Amino acid sequence: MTDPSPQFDPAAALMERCAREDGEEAFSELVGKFSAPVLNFFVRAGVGINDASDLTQEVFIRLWKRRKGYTPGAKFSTYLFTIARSVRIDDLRRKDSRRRTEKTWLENRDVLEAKPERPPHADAVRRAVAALPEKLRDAVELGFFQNLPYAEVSQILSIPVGTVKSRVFNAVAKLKEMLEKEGIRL
Amino acid sequence: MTDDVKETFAGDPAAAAFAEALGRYACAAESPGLAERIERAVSAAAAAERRRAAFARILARAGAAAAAAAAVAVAAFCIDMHVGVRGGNPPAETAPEPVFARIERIPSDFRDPVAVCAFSPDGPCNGWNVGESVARIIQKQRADGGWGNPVLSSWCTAALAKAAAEGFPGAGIARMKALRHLRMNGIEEKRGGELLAAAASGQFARFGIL
Repeated sequence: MTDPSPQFDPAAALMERCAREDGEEAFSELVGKFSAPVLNFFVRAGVGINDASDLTQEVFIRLWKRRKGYTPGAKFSTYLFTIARSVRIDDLRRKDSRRRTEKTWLENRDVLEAKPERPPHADAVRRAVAALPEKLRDAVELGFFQNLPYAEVSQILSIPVGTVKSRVFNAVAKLKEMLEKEGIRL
Repeated sequence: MTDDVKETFAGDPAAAAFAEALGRYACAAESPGLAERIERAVSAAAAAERRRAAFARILARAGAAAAAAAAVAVAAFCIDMHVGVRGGNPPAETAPEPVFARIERIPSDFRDPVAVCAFSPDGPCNGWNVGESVARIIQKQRADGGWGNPVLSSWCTAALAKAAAEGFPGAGIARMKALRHLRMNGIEEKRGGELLAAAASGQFARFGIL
């Protein structure tokens, strides 16, 4: 398994600069690099694109407010997605998720239709990911779609690395099965 | 795909091929202008943070000033008592003024809400420090053991509403407490405009305030 600690992490260096100097410029670089992955983190969890944008904004505001609590040397993505996950949990507590999900698909489909270079079946893939059980979805979202090393995912989800590996495997197998049921082959 | 993912599907070529294809969907959604919107929101948060920090410094200074004033009051009281004992009963006209009146002439408890409300350049309390005024209101109410004075509370709510809108920490919570107290006592909340009018027309005197 990949060990995240010894490699140089440019995002961590930027975050350290933010914490040390209150540097808004360094923070802007982080926003530019990580806003899309965080947005997709929420969208794949079944959040509508508009709500997902708001939640992404909330993540970065929390990140800014907690910049002093960032431990130098820690992986930035671990810190970021831990915040993103807690924002999502808070949001689920606040809202009636079932009611929100009903309009989500229409909202997201419109956005995808408007994006000409979108990969085929993007809507079906997103729907399938959102339909996964939460434990599998979190693992596949972070360990697969967000390309985080399993060691980091294990820290964020507080589960052993081996469990991350098996959940990613099971989630991908389940996604394959769900998409094939709809007659979709990627 | 990370090495971890490759390793996960190493023994299953069909699943590995599917995973490879699935990887294209990592950033399928996008929201135009999102990064700019976030940067604006973060800038606003940073500005609010700087305002709060400045206010905290003012509060700290106000706290130190209040402690110093209390020390002066105690000292004045002790000296007065000492002189009184030595010299017998002092004549009434030589009795010292209350420390507060001597320092400011106007009780700040009632002056401060007006100062807070008078944000406009031509307001009656132009030039007063809003941050210090809010700090004093909150301090005074705390010192009174809560919102014990309904008349004062009714004036303060208007001031605190403005202060809360300006982002002064503690002002919103303090106002909620004041409102609860006023509701319990059946007293109406004063509005900012009334406050200014009262200050301008000297209505405070009717309450025996000035």
